[in-house]
Amino acid sequence: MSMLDIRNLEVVYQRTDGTPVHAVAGASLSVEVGEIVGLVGETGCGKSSLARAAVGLTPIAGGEVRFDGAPVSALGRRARTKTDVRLQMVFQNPYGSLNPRRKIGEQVADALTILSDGARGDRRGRVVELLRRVGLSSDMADRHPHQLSGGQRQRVAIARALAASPKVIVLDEPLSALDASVQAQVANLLVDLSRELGMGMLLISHDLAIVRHVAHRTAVMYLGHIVESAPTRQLWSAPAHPYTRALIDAIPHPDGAGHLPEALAGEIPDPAHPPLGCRFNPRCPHAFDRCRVDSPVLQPLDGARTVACWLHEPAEAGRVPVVSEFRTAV
Amino acid sequence: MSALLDVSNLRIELTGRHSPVTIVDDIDFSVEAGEVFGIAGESGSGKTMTALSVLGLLPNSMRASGQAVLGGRNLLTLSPSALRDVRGRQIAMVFQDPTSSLHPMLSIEHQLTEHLRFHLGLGRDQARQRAFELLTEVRIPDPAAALNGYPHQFSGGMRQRIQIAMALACEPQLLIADEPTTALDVTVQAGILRLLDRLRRDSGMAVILITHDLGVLSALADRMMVMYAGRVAETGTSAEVLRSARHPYTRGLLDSLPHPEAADQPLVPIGGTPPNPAQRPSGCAFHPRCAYATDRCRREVPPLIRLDSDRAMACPVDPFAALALSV
Repeated sequence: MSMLDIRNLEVVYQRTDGTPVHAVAGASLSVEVGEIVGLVGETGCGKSSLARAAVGLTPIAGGEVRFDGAPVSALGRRARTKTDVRLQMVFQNPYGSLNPRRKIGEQVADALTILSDGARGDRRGRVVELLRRVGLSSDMADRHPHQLSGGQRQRVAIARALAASPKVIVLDEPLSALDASVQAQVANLLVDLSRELGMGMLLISHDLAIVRHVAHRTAVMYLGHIVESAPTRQLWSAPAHPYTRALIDAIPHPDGAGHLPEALAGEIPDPAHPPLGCRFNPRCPHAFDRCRVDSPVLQPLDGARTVACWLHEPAEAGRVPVVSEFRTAV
Repeated sequence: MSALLDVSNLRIELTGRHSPVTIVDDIDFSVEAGEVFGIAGESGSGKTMTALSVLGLLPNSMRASGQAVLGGRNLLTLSPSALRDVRGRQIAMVFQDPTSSLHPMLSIEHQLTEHLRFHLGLGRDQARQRAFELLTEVRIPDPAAALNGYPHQFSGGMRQRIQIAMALACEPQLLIADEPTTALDVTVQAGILRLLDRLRRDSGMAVILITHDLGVLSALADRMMVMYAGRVAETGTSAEVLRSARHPYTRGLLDSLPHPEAADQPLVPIGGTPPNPAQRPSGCAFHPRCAYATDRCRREVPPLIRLDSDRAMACPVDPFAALALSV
């Protein structure tokens, strides 16, 4: 049983004209103890909706999310249950998640107060311990958010999540607002925390390169579906889904070689009117007849890899043995 | 051959109630016709203000001194009306966030034809025809329908293409692109980079590309300049700077990026954070974060040392000199 288990999750929003938009259309994903799972995909693929639904911030239209064996309850006016508290979330913008008028120490202590964790007397001690845990010195406790840099603020947000001694943290783009040199610091912090505290993490990011360094396993999402999930190293060395391949080929490398990255043709379609069959078929260079009619499901490929692509169906063997590189003329 | 744009002794100060704060401290660079010149740096390095000063678009609280010569005229001393003529016709700019630089309530046609009529004096039909051509040029599907559309009907990548079309309208000699792909997904970014590359090859337009992403510069820039706390740390051809970085800051930046061959190793971050311009460290601004700093680095502002005709860097310690020789 996984620590965080997401099965056939559906998240549906209603447009003002009444059209339902399936932001997440039946996605399954799990996070084990001490495991960092990366979830990557383009804007609008539903990764943030999945993250919010995973912690109960967005209502679920179908499927289920189980944490530590029990279903995650939707967040309402009442306090979270004792088990759900061990599932925490960190957001992209640390400016938005901290109160500008209150001291850092007070805001970290809030988390402890809400949890009624420990006697009042030693809360200050716990706050200092939490700040140290994320690499901040104890004198930060007396500062206000504006006196901190972006990276320091994101560390504070992580410290607040840690106050609940979480078993799993869901992080939605925790690194994208940070400068490159600072990004690496926070990325390393996440790896250390996961290893030392045995915490599971679901890391949502559009930055594949950083996910590659941090995540043990990576799932790729496209238009509400998970199209591939594999151990990170395998995903990179031998991407099985054409979309994964396209994402990897689009990353520019700072090697001074002057290569233009490959562009994926077309745009992500409107999730209210997804294409028939495989949702990636209009942009896929390998699409054939079946892709335009049947929607492929996520199936085991080998070992720990799963992929949702007809190219890997045994009956289609020999059609395209490996997903070749994209060539674009833009 | 003289450069298209020649910037020398550029200094930008934030004036206000407090003592002036130096945002950009005496930098020089030049951009040749048809080349892509990259400016790299983290937040607060002064890269955006450098670009805005060339366009005469600095906020009122900032003052630029020095020279930025384009076509024999110093842009920093031009009158507002002369500058208005330069902007749009000779220099155009593309910003990071296409949502905020397009008017949400005006049609694409209105926004694309306005300056065609203003700068080039085109009539209504001519301007519409040209707008159609421009949208075709930047590969907007169904340009005729797009002209009647409004910004919210387009995706981020398409809005950025529309913004580029607007910038191209008067066939500028120089396009300044400030983080043009930062808000976009990698797949969409790749398309915009290819578009910029095609445009400069086809039209001979020069591009100043400002970004924090060294990968983007590697793909597109011919030469580049790395800025730190308002000063130039290193400059040269992109191939040289990225393949054999000489300044400890450039090297630190490159080391902190995820590297394909070292995916199992922890990242190597630069300690500390980029400084606030109001509290710039003494001497070399990078010294508190630099593993090679000496006493002299704490005291003296290091001069830019010329390495060869188009390569220079500002680190007298030069810890990577031997490495560079072996490359």
